[in-house]
Amino acid sequence: MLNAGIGLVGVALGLGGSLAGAVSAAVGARTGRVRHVNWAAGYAIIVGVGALIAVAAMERALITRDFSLRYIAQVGSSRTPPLFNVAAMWGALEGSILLWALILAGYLVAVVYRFRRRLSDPLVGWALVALFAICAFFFALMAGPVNPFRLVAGAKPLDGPGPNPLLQNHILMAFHPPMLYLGYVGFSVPFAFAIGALVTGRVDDGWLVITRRWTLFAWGFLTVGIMLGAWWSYEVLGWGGFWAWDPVENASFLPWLTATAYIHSILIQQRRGMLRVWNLSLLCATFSLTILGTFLTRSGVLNSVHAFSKSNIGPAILGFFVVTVVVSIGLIAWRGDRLRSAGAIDAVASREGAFLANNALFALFAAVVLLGTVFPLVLEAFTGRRVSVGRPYFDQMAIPLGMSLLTLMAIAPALPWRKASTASLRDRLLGPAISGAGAASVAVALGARGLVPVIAFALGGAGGGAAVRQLAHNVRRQGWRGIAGSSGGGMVVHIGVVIIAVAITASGSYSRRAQFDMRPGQPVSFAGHTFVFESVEFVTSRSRNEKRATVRVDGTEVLSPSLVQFNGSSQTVGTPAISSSISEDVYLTAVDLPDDNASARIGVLIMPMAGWLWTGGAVMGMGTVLASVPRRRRPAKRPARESPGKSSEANARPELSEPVGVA
Amino acid sequence: MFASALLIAAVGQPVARTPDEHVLRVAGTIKCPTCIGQSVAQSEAPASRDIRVDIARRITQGESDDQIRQDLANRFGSDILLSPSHSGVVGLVWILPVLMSLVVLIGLALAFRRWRLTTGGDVSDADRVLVTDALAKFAGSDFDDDEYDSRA
Repeated sequence: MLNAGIGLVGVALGLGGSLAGAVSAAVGARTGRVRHVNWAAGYAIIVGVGALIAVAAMERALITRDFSLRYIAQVGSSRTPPLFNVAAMWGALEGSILLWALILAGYLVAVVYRFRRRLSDPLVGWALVALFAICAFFFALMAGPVNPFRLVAGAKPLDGPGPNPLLQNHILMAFHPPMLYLGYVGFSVPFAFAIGALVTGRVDDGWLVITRRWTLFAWGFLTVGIMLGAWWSYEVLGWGGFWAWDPVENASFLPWLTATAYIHSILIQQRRGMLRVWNLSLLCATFSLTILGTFLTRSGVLNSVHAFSKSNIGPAILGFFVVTVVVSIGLIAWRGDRLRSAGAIDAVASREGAFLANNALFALFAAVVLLGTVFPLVLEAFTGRRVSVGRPYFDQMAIPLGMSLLTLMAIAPALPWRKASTASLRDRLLGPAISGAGAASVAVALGARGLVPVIAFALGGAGGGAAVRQLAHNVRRQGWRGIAGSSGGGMVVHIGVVIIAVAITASGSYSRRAQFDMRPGQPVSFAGHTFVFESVEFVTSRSRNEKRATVRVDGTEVLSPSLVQFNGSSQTVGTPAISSSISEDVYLTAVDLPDDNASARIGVLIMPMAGWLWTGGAVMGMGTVLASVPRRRRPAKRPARESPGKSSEANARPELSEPVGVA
Repeated sequence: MFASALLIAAVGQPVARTPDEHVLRVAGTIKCPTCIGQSVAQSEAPASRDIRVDIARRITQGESDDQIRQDLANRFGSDILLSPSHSGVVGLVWILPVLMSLVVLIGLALAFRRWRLTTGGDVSDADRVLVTDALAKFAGSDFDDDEYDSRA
């Protein structure tokens, strides 16, 4: 009771603060009265405090096992270990909205703090209005249809089932959702500033410079969150894969695609002042896709491993999505005249041309993934026919798109801005071409066969070569600072992407798997390894019963795949055991373990280069951090103004010279 | 070197598949009938295990992958197939991406054409050389990551 009361006070503070904040920020922005602006800042703090109170109440209820709360009765259990108990907050629908609200409130407070000296700027004011409005929506959800503090009807249960067994099987579960949400929710900030810029009509370049780093951080968190989810899937689910094109995965991948397009195309706008409508649309699309993804996965219209139980928040979220899209399109149309820019991209074979092709590909990729994800829904709504669109479809679509993107990664970083002569093109592409041919040759020498994978290795090699070439060039010019900033950090991210692409290709094309009935002590050989099943042991603890096999691999290492049954759940969860090396992972699963020491059925999977996936993810994360480090400004050597002409357009924008190094 | 590598890659035989790999390749295209959002290859639900056993049996009997899929679709309904059919209204899911690619390509081509028309004009090659030389003098500014190359 106490927890519910405290929690609801928090939700009420959040909702009230958001609504009041939206109104005062709007009045402040319209009238320029400092008083209202300052009130808005105060309301932001109230929203932040409200979210903290609500989360504290929820965690207190989880820790004290307050089963009078329906949510705790659903995800809590007296047997859940402390870490997973704390993480159980985001184990189901209501709590995940609470986490969303907490992170959103955190971003709101951060924006107010960061722009505390510019709060009276109407652009910041309108951005705050948008942020407060988004906050109000999520707190309203918690005050209404997904109230996490609802009490159980009838007698208070003595214990609960605990979180879904799959969610308490690995430490990554405690980090994957918060990371993902930091990314997902983080896109609210650049979106809010886009709205602010549109409302005030100041669609010149200042606003995107302001928000560029926020977008980059959100993108980085989303990237890391997606990678952690893939890693979790690989470590826990036991089918040996890391990406299943499940609707929830798609829902996180869609905004990632549009945001990736944005962080590339924004460079054209920053440098050439072009593509303003497109960039605003990408930001609005990214934010809208996070909301659409929430609708698809949280309303029960689509089923997936991640989808929570059916709920009645569907119409509310869908309504919010429609409002977001209508407001975005309306504002962009209204400000259309101010968004036009005079610049032109004169050559396809230029950095701008390549960025444009990159954007077209990312947008196409996003459109295809969206199509595949919602197609079953739409078809059933219109024709009543049921159809499934699953992994085979997405794989088939993603391979050509991914290869095209890899091709661009090999070429684009070597292209100069504006225009390249044939001679200089040949010069610039020589390095990437050599490293691509080298990568393919090495792969073939190591035994890679099949045209598609070897071409992918070649493209990966070329992409890596192009990134290293650019990095070397930056370092020659600026010393070690050259690896930072948008150019250096971006290239480090590219190297991470190349590592991941190569790992996906290798593990997807050359994995080997088989199942064996292994008798104790009798060696089994497969794919160059020997496996000896030794014994089964039983491990029982308060929260789980585990049957664990001991399998000796290649005479030395011992792997212990197991079957776990959590108390309170009838489901048996297989936990794979993985031995990772630079060249490959040996991945064992327990299919069937005997109660006596008879033969055990063990699944063996050999995944070449699987460990590189996570390395690549870490490199991408590092690159994002580097990209957000401002590069030192060089003293300007150029004249204040050049003769009018397109080449001087960038120079004619003095306010732009600073942010170039600011990612 | 690169050409010969590609040649070897193209004609080289991939390693022989194990029965398990064959089963899982087919199972990966079948939706688990009782669980949600998983393929028969991923799922450990009893129904999925049964289908895997069934697929394995049919493979040893010499049925083709498509035969097996068709038979499962007849038994469980066509939405058990994770790869949608190419015909009828369902085929749209395959056709639309192709159409979208075309639209994107045409859109890009038109955009570049428009830019070329608006900027081509009376700029002569000599003018371009002048501009390039002038720009090269300012190389090393924040703006031109790549100017270094054109000087070198």
